Amino acid sequence: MPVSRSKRRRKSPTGNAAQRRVGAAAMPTSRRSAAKRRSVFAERILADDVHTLTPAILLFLCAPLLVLLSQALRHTYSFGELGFLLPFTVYDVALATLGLGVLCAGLASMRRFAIVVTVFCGTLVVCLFRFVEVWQAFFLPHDLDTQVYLVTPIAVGLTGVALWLPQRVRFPAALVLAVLLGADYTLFIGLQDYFNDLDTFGIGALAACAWILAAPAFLLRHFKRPWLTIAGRILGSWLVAIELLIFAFAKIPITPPTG
Amino acid sequence: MTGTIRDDDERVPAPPRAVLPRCAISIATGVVAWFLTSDPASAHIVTGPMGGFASGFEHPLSGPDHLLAMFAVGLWGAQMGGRQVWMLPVTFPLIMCVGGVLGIAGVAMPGIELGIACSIIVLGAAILAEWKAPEWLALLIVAFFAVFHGYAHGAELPMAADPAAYAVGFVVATGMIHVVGIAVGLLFGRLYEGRVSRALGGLIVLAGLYYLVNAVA
Repeated sequence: MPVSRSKRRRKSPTGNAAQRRVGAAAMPTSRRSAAKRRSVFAERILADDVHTLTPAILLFLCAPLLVLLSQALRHTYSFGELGFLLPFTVYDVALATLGLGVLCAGLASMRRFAIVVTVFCGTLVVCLFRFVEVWQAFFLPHDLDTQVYLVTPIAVGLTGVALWLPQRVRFPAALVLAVLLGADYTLFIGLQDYFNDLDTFGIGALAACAWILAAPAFLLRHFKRPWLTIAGRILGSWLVAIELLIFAFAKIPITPPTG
Repeated sequence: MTGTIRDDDERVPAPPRAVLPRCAISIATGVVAWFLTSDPASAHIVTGPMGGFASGFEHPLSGPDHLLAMFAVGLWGAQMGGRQVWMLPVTFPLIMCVGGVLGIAGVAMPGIELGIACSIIVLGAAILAEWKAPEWLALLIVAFFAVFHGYAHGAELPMAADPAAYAVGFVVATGMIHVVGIAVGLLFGRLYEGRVSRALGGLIVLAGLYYLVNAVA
């Protein structure tokens, strides 16, 4: 049976490197040294298995291109398009979802990464398309409808803290956060007027949410884990700082600044 | 970069630690006394209608005083290497939000402009001198000055149309300036035996002196 191109690559991970070395030997000295510098740079930053790097980059570029196109062209917005744009405008939750993506990118296996994305999308689908039932079953009986504003700071802060957790507890933490952030996004999407009768709005929003979690994480999986740890800690500190500020703003009586 | 980056909690062998001279302690005490005795000031506090994310994002970028200090934090961390590469940029926003909360609450805080100007001078001088400060001291310096920057941001937050988005904007912009500082430090830090970083430190000190003169005048 003929071996496919991707399988061949997986079976001989050093094959490409050997070809590059042969190719580099035929180059002039200046170009060879430049290529060597590039390869050293790539070795320091990129993970060993990068055969899905190109699709990851393409997937990552999809949404920014669509958003740019949507903003650049003068047109009447469709409801699906409005739904797609909405999750990007909920900045704190979008940043927290990106943080969850960084957490996912550092998970040991692709299978665990896929499970977290599935749980996130599943929570969104269930909560969005059964929004009224979930609201009536969970929020109203416990008088939580007046405390809804606390969901976002809690979700954002917990995501920030989770990015500092040791490797062994990151997977369960990512699962909990996937549910929490999915439910939090649902509040923003489900409470929009457009959502009441228009499934296309919800589908657009769902696609954007899935992209925010999966696409950057899929790209980041191609980087070495120590870099992800550093990125995660920096992003985690941002999320905790944002959460504290939002929480303080919600709780502290505001007085005009002096001076 | 002078050290190496490791995963999780592994400690990188620390460079030889400089002994803190007594005169530095005296100067630091004097500076703290100066802050406590000076009048309240409003450093780079924009008044009038403000939006959300864009206004917050714009705030650190529109004021070179904030920008230079935050850039210097990233550059200094990269210059020191090891854990400091990420420890300083992580500490800054966390403590900055303490200043932000003080600003939101409207607590009168003296010497904000002086604090920000001094932060630029001290951080620039540390880069210029290629000072490998002990970890606790570097964190203390960064944390101390982060409060002043946070206050200036936080004082504006209640005026924003969307305070949550405003907070996200200024924290993200701050963090990105740190990341740019780290990137410059890691990419160009070794050029001409570190003279490029030190020259940048010198320029930052000069800018800090300009802001200090403006703050005092």
